[in-house]
Amino acid sequence: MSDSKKSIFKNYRFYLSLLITFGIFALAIIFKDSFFRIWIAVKDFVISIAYYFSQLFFIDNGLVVTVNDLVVFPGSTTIIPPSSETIIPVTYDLFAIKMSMYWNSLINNQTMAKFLVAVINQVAIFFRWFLIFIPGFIALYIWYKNIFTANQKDYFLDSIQLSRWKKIKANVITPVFNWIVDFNSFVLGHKYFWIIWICCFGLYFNLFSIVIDFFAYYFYFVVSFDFENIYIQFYKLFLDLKVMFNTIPWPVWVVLIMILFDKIRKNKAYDSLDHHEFMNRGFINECGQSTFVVGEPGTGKTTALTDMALSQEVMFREKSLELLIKAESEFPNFPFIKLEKMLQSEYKNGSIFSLSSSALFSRDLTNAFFDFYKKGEFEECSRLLFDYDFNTYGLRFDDGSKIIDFISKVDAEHSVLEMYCKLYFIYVLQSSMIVSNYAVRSDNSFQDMGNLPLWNYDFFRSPSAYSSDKENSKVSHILDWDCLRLGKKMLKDNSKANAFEFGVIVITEIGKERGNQNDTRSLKKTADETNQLNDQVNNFLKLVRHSATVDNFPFIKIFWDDQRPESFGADGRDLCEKLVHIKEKSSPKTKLWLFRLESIIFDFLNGHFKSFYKRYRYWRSDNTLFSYFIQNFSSQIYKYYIRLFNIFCYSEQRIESESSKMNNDFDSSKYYLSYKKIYSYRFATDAFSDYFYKKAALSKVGIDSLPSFNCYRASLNELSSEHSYLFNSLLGPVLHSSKPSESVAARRVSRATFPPRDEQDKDQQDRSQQHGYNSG
Amino acid sequence: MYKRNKFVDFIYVISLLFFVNLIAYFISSYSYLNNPSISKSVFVNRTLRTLDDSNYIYFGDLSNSYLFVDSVKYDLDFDSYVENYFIYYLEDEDEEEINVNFVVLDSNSIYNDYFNLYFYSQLTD
Repeated sequence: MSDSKKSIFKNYRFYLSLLITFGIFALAIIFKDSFFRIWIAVKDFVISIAYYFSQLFFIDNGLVVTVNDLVVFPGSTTIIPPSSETIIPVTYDLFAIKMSMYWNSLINNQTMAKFLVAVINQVAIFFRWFLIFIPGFIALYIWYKNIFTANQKDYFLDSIQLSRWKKIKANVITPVFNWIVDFNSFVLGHKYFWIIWICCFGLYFNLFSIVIDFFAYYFYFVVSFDFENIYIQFYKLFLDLKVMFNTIPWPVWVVLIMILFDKIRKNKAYDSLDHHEFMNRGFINECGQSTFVVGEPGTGKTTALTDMALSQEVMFREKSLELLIKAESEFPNFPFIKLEKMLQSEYKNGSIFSLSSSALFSRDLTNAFFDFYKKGEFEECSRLLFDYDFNTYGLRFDDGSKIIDFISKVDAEHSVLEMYCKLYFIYVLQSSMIVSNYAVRSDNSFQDMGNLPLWNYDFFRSPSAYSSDKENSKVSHILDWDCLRLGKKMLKDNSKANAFEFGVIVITEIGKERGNQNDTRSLKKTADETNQLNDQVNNFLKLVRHSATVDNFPFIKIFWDDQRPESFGADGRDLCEKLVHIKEKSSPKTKLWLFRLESIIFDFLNGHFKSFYKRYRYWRSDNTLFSYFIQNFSSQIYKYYIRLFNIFCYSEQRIESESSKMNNDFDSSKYYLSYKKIYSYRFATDAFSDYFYKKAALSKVGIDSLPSFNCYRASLNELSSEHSYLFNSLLGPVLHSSKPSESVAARRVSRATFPPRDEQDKDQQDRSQQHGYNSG
Repeated sequence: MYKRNKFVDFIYVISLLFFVNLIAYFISSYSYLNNPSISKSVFVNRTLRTLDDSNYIYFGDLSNSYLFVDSVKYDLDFDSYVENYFIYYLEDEDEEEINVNFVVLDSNSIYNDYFNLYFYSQLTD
């Protein structure tokens, strides 16, 4: 016996589990009918199987099938187990009658009266309980009011009651909870216990009998087509389930139904999010190679841009896998796995790092193959192709329009071998496929069992993201504009200048980088320094699809945004097939059933909590038992609500797309922004904040130190301190003159509006003190 | 945050309550068939002793209210029937006469000597 098996006998949880098991065995006394029931079910099953084969092979042995029989239970005079009734009648005819009775009695004074009486009874019961608790509510209210009577300044000190509660929690509740969790994990870790328990309850509640009887009837039905007796099976099903419905108390059913309902509604909501994602992808595909997103501030341009880039990255990976499978369909007997393993080893040693190096690898292989082929060394050829029997399975595929070579020296680029090497590189690329001028984080997980790796692209069912999760995050590559420059480059001999071949380029605020005709008017193509006219970025963007096309599919997509289309020059705009105008963003929506009800309840509770919290924080700073419970309760509600909100809510953007020629021919559509997808640390809305942080850090003063206006009407001196173009031009001659005008009117104005500077400072200081702040 | 309109909230909650009650009403209506407790009606017992050898008899339309009768307790005696109607009389505990219009009998060999009886009645008082 191994040590682990020996040690289990020293574990008291084992004996407790054993005791529970015996307890469950003892319940057999209560559920004794279930043993008779399963015996009948097994007998029905065996006879049905025999009947099935006898009918199948035309053997007429006079076998009488018992699956349609209702059997009298031991100790009973009916087919119904003692002390049990069924909801539905025993025959279909009676059922039809009962249904007829049901419909007739549905709109019936007596039925309605009975229902109303039942409802009133329930309401009466509720009010009875309410009356019982009224004194408690009054006491609670008085206590609640008294909380705010004393100005308590015991900063974050616990009250005596709270201290006691925390002790009880630490010494009783938490250990008990931990023990339950621990025992639960012990049981889950020793599956024979919970399997036995489930089996016992499956037996007691006739669940096994139902399954066995289902197959018994199935085998009988497929050879007899006995529709008449289907009803009796339903009757038996109700009869069998009755045991479970009668045994399990209704509160448990309520909880189970709620859990089931919650699961169903979440699945449906996830389906809706998936549907939106596919609709977004359809829209992105319609947009062509380059897409220019424009819209007013606050409409979610950059959010949509990022969302599109994330979806596009997934689409590229999916497309590469689709093309890989296509290649495998064309040459089903080629050992692609061996090729993949060799490519992986080349990735590791760094000899393949791009599409062009993949092509180089493939061409070296091709050259070696044809060298041996010319010499007639076919075994060597086969060895080079990973022992592929090309004599038997061939090296060509006729797709009806063209003959595709697996390996070719003349047209190597379109040979399946080279395309496969490139596609595999795209598919398994471990870093992000996005190249952008701001950071975009994706977290598609790469799952590899050593064979064909698979990506998990699920944006909605993945766990919450960590901002610093380097292991699972793939943050976009920094866009080095020299990569996009075919002409002059900003950095001479930039080693990364030729690195970009394929991927998703995302550029926010393109107009500020590239400018339009007005912005670049002062620039010259012939200038020595790099500028927007001589760097030929636009030419690169026009031609880049040639470097990114593999198997006739361009693995390149460019998204950029700005507030107005005119911010980007006409030549740049012409790159886009579509200009996407984001007209408006809707308020949050969801397809989660009953979320509105949860939202109503949450707002009600949260509103009251906020009101309580503000008052409590104003009056007191100590911790009482009451405030502790209220805060923790509201925190749990908030957590529940905000999680549902962030996972299942989305916004709709109303989009109008037009041709880049801006001929005002708009197509309306919608773009869906799922919060779970786009707000999981995907990008920072303050993408360039680091610049402003550094800029502000240079200052020795803050907003509190900026001078305030003296009163609600600004003085001339105050206006001049704005350093504005307007007031400088208007007031400059007046204020900055070394000798002010001596006119009477000017002197009056001057006296009225310019109190002495020390007086101004004093006033300001007084006001600041009045508000309780130090003006600095 | 999730924006709502108070009027729509009101309509939503009312509709929800209505549908919950509607479902409860449908379920309750069915349960009343099994457990009728209509005032002046007679209580339920679906299994009765054999009355005759007929296998299955169903009579009449079902537009009226219904009730279930324990034949043993009330010592049923089918004294007459006209066309498709069984009409018979029984006395309840207050010795008030109840006219039972429709009767359904169901017999099944598996039941051995047991029948299911359903009485559809029009309470006469």
